[in-house]
Amino acid sequence: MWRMQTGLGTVFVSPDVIARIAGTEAQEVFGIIGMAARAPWIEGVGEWLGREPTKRGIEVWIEEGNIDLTIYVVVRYGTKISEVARNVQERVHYAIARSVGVAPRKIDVYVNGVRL
Amino acid sequence: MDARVLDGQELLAWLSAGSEYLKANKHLVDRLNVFPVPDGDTGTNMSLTLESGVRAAQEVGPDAAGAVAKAFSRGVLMGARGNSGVILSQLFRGFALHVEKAVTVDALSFAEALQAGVRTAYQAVLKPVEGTMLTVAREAAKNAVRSARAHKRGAHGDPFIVVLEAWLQAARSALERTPELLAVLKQAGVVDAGGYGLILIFEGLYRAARKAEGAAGADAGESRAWAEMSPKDSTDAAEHDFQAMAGMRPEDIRYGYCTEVIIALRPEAQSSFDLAAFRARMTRFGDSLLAIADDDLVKVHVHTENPGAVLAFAQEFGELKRIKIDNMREQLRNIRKRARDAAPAGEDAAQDVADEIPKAKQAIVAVASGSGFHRLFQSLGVSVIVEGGQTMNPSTEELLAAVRRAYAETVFLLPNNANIILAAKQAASLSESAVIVVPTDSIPSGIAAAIAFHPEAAPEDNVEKMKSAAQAVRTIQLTTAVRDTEHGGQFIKSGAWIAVSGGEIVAHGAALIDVARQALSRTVDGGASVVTAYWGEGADPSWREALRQAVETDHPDVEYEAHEGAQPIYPLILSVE
Repeated sequence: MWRMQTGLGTVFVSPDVIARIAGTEAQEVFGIIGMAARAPWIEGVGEWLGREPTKRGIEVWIEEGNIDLTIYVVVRYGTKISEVARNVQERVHYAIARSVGVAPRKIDVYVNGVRL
Repeated sequence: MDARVLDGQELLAWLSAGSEYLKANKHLVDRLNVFPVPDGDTGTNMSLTLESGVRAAQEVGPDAAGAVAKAFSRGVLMGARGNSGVILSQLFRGFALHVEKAVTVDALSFAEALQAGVRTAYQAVLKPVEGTMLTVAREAAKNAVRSARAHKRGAHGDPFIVVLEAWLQAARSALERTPELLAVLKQAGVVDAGGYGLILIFEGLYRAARKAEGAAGADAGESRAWAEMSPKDSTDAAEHDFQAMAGMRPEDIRYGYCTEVIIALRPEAQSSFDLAAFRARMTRFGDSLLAIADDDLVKVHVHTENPGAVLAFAQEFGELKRIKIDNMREQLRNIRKRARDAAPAGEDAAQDVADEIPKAKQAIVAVASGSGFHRLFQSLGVSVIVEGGQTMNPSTEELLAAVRRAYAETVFLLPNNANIILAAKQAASLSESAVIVVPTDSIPSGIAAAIAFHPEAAPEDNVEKMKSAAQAVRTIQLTTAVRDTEHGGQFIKSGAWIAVSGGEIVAHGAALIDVARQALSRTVDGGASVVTAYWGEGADPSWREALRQAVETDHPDVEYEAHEGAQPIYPLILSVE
């Protein structure tokens, strides 16, 4: 749970909510044509560490008040992958900062596939 | 039938013209940028993306149209910047794939290539958002193809001009509709920046086409109206401030700088950050204070005379993320000027100009209740009196406001009640002026302190004199017991007179004068020289003379004074000093 102290009390935001926002935004980024399953080589690591993986292609880690995200995507062949990935980061960063009220500390994007 | 075709050289010239035209107007596009991330760089990104394409196309030199398009497309792909740049790269990628093998391109295949670009672009996104550059490109290309086909069936004139005009016409009306499709645009009151950028590119193409055709005065400036647009910032507090400022004069603004800052709290400050305390401390800077916070960010809005002090204070808590300072007097002057220019003369909200009053060196703020005490403190030169006392303790906030009203470099704060001393100290710690609390626990000690104050003396000297004067005063407050009580082994019946001094009941009895005499005889010692009586609400006129005679009889060596305090609760307050 991500907590936000306001003058009137505490607001709790579930990682699921953050994942849903991130997923929705990432899918709308131009050049993204799919959300990937999490990378096989780190599959399950989240659980081992007691972190809560959520939503397809999105991992949200909340630690000490920081929001970290990992996003697994498939991009369209013929796009500039680095730029598309960066656009994912920027857009998700902005959307979460705007709707949740705090900017994620880190957004890692794994480009797991490219599709023709 | 016009058989005009586009060769590689001409295509490059057009694309360069499009790139140039966008570059020249990119700031207009930047300004509209609210989606997907309002970072104001859409125009710049698109322009840089296109320039990369032009450079790549120039490198291949004069060649077939298909080769130029392919090189351009690759350059755009490699140079794609931002979301809009990536979209552009796909539009041109599809375009280039369509004309790849062509040496020359006619108007219909040009239009079809544009449509191929749109198809390619749509394939590159999982969930296309309508109301963006994609929408504009799609509608425009569709119309371009339609008109190219119509032209081919037998119209006159340059088919490229026809196609480009059709493209622009549909693009403009699609752009006009983008706010209907994308709520964030509507909220901001703008059209889509990327769509506008795309139109600027095609206006550049159109101009080049017209020039090539030899037409004079080529003008594609129809969409300039969008250039006037700029997004409304719904969170801009300064906007709302103006509503309240209507009819004011710039000189009337007490706090002239609308200051907004976002603080990224230092990690160690995050857990301990207390928004309420922060707000209270901010109040010393000015008014219209707004402070909101989450775990690590604090957004502050305040009207102040001293934005520098606000920033310095804010910086104590962490890094300053965004700073915005508006001079509201200047803004108001501009508004008034506009209003004057617009309205006939003579209409002027005549308000007296508040002079810029320099701060006093020293001033006293006192807490008191009772009209007599108010007057008394006023006559002693106390600048601001806060209503309050035993049953009505003023808040820290009220005390702070009073300190601000006192408008002095050093303010002496006289709480005049034991229960208010803490709030006074709190106010002192929050105030921007130097505030010295003289811990007066009763009205008479406050009066003594106020008498000891000398406006010309150094603040340090004043503190000393006021404190010792306050301490030298012993106060006896007389009232009636509100219920039966036991004190010192004696019963005090409800309604009996009691005399309280230093938190203790020092005397009690059925008659006020007797109780006052008992209390005074316990209090007046060899060092006492003055006994002062402050008569309160509900004091019987006959008591005045009786008490005077009693004091003169009991204590012939002391001077007796009487004042009308008109205080509630205590019909009689006595001070001995």
